[in-house]
Amino acid sequence: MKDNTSRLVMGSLLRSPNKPVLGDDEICINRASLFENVRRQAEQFQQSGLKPDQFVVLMCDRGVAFWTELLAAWVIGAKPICIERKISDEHAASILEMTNVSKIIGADESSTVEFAGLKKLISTFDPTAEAGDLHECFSSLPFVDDDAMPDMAGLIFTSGTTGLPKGVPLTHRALNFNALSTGQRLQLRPRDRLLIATPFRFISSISHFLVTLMSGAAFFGSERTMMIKDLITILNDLKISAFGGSPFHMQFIAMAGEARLPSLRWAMSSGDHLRPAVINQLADSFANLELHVVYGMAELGGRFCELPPQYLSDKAGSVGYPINGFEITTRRGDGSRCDVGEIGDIYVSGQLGFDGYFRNSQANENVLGQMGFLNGDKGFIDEDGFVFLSGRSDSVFKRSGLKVSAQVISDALMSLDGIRDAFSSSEEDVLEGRVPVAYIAWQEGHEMESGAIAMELRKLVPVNHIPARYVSLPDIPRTGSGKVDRRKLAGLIETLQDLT
Amino acid sequence: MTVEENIRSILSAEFGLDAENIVADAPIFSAGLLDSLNSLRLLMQLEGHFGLSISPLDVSLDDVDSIAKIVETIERLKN
Repeated sequence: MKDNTSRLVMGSLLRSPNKPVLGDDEICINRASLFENVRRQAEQFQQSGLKPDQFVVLMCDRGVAFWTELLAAWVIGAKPICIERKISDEHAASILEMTNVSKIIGADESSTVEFAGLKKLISTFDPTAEAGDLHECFSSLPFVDDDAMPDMAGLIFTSGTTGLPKGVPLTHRALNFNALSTGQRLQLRPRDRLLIATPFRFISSISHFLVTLMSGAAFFGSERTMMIKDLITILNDLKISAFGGSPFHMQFIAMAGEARLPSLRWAMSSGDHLRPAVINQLADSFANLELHVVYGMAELGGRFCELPPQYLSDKAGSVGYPINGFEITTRRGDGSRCDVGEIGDIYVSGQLGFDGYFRNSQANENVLGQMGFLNGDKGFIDEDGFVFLSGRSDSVFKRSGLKVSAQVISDALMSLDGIRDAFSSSEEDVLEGRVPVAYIAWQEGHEMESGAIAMELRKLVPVNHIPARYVSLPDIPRTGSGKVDRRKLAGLIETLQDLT
Repeated sequence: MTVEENIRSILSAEFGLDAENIVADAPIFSAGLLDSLNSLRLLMQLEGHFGLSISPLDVSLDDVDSIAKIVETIERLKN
C-alpha cells in the first residue's frame, strides 16, 4: 500500500471519539468531529472535480478548518499548496505559472487578484458535525486507490529571502517517516495539549500537527500576532501542556515562568539554535520543563536533528544530533570532510525524501549531489557528534528564527537616493538573537535620519529585514574584486558615528 | 511634544513607519505594520522615552494595537 499521510494520521485516532484533538483560539473539536469533517470535505472535493495528483491552493489563517481540509485533500490524493493569506501578487503569479493550479479553497475578498481566476471550492467545515462511529467513518473515507496515489503530498515554499520563494515538494513518505522518527524522540503523551504559534504553512507547524496527532495528543494552533501576555492567556485558557515555537517564543516562555504557566511541562524550540542564556533562564524559571531544541528544514520533511533535554546544560548552543535515518557531515569547499570542531558546510544525507525544488533545476544543481543535501548552513560537529550552527554560507542569518538576507538589505539600500555605497551584516542582539546592521556611505549632503531610511526600506524589504542600527561611514572599504573588506570595516567601525 | 507625538516619533524613527499618516485608531500589529517580533523592542522604546517601567507580562496586543491605544496605555501607566 502506498504512503498516505491522512491514512497514517487518522488510523492512529480510531479510539476515544470524544477526546479533543484539534483546536485554535476559538474552537476545539473532538476526534468524531475531525473524522466527519474530513469525510465531508473529501467528498466535497471530489464533487467539485478535484482529482488525485491535482494541485489545490489551500489558504492558511483559517484555524481548524485549514487542518481538516489538508487531511481531506490528502485522502483523495490531491496536492495542497499551503500559502499565507497575505501572499504577494508576484509570488502568487509564480505559483500559477509553475503549477498550473486551477482550484483554491479559503480565498476571500482580501486574497491576491492573481488568484481571481481560480475555481473557489467550498469549505464544509462545521465544528458541530460528528461521526457516529470512528471505524465506520474511517472505512467510508474516499481514500484514493494506490495506482492513482501520487508520491507528492503538496507544495510549501521557502522564505524567499534571496529571491522568489522556492517550491518544496513534500512527499507522503518523507512526512510519515519524519513524523514517526521525530515522535520517538519528542515523547509527547496522549494527554498532552500542544499549542503552536507559528504560521501553519511552515514545515515546523505541519510537522507539529502530524507528530502531535500520531502521539494521540491534542493539537492547537494560532496564527494571530501575540504579545507575551496574550500568549500566557491562550496557554492557560486552553490548558496547554506542550508548546512549540521559535527561540523568540522561548524567551516569552522564560519571562513568564512556571508561576504564570503552571500547566506547561514540555516545550520545543525550532527555527534556530537556542541561546544558552535563554536555556538558563528557562531552567531558572521552570522546575521541570522538558525542553527540546530541534533543527529542521522544509526540504527534509520536517526535523532532522534534536537536542534532547538531558544534554541542554552540557551541549548548550547545539542543535543536537540527527534523528534516525539522517546523517550530517560538515565539509570543506573541496568536499572533503571537516575534522572534529572544524567549521564547514553542512550536508544532510540518509532518508531525505527530497529530490529537489519544484521545477528549479538551477537551484537543485547547487544543493543536491552525492554527498547529500547542501542545506546552506555552516557549522561544526563536536567529538560527541553534536551539531553546532555558526551561520549561513550565503549572508543569510536568522532573526528571531526567521531568515534575513543581508544581501537583500544591501541591495535595497543601494537603490535609495543619496547613498553612495552600502553594506549590511548582522550582530548579536539580546532580544532577537541576531539583527541586521546597515553601514552607509552617503553622497555629500544627502545624509538621512535612521527613521527616514527605515521608512524607505519598508517599501522594498520585509519587516524583519529592517536594520536595528544604521552606521554612517566615510567609505565602505572594499577589496580589488569589489568585496567588502571586513577587516578594514571593523577598524573603521571603531571610529564610526552611529546615526541612532 | 505630546504623548501621541512622541509615539509617532518612535514609530517613525525606530520602525520606519510613516507614522504621521497613520490614523490614531488604525491597527498597527493586527494590520501587519509591526509583528510580534517588534513587540519587545517597542516596549523598550516606550520605557526609555517616557521614563516608565513596563513589564511585557502586563501588556497585551490590545493595549498597543493603535497609536490611540498606546497613548491610553502610557497615560494609564503614568498614573
